[in-house]
Amino acid sequence: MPYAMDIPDGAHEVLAAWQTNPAVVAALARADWKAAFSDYPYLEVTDTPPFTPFTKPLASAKIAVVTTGGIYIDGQQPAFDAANPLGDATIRYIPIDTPYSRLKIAHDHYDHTAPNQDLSTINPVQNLRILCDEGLFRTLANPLISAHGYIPLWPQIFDQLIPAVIESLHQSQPDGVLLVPV
Amino acid sequence: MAIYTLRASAKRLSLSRVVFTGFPRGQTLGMPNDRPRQLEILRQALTHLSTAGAPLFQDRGDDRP
Repeated sequence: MPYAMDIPDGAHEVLAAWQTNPAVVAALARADWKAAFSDYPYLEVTDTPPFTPFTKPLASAKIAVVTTGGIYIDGQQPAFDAANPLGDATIRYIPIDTPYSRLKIAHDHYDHTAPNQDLSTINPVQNLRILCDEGLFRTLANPLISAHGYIPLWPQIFDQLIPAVIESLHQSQPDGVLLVPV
Repeated sequence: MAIYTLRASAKRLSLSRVVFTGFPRGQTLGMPNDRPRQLEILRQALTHLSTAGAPLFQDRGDDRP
């Protein structure tokens, strides 16, 4: 799986300036996201993204899933650091046969009302198993890769998160990956 | 292939294959307890994954109930 994108020159310095701006520090401390992110240096990708046509028949494909909903196995894995105003770039590997009743969410940056009613709103594993049983694709890669979608220091995504995801995908060897940003 | 709720961030990252569902954050894959629609969103995404050719940005935001 090629990974051809580099962190743009100067990105760390730009983000360091944002992160240490006293107004931003104060806004983050009081969870005033609108103020904190009013001048946030978003990553903008202007290059054409690498695109590899998917040539394998879907019915014979192995599909992996990455979700950023902050899901973890309660009592077995540490929760994501949801209260950290600078986010959490770690990941949790969740065996796909883990009952939903054992999963919890640690993520303070979206409304949990829907996933608390039905985790399938952010975690597609149960529904994908139905589609797999119908023959839409061959099998589901194990494990589900769970990340925490709030990572304002986005070079951490390049330095930490993506390498960990790729390492897991190298082990499970899927033909395609479904990303579910939350 | 990504299933996204936030059109702006998907475009900002120039993702090559996106199904945009338009649901609020926290229910990217559909409304709670609406399995038929949840399955349809996943079916659409996987079908687009297997469609050879150019990148695409499939907007299903107008389909939301």
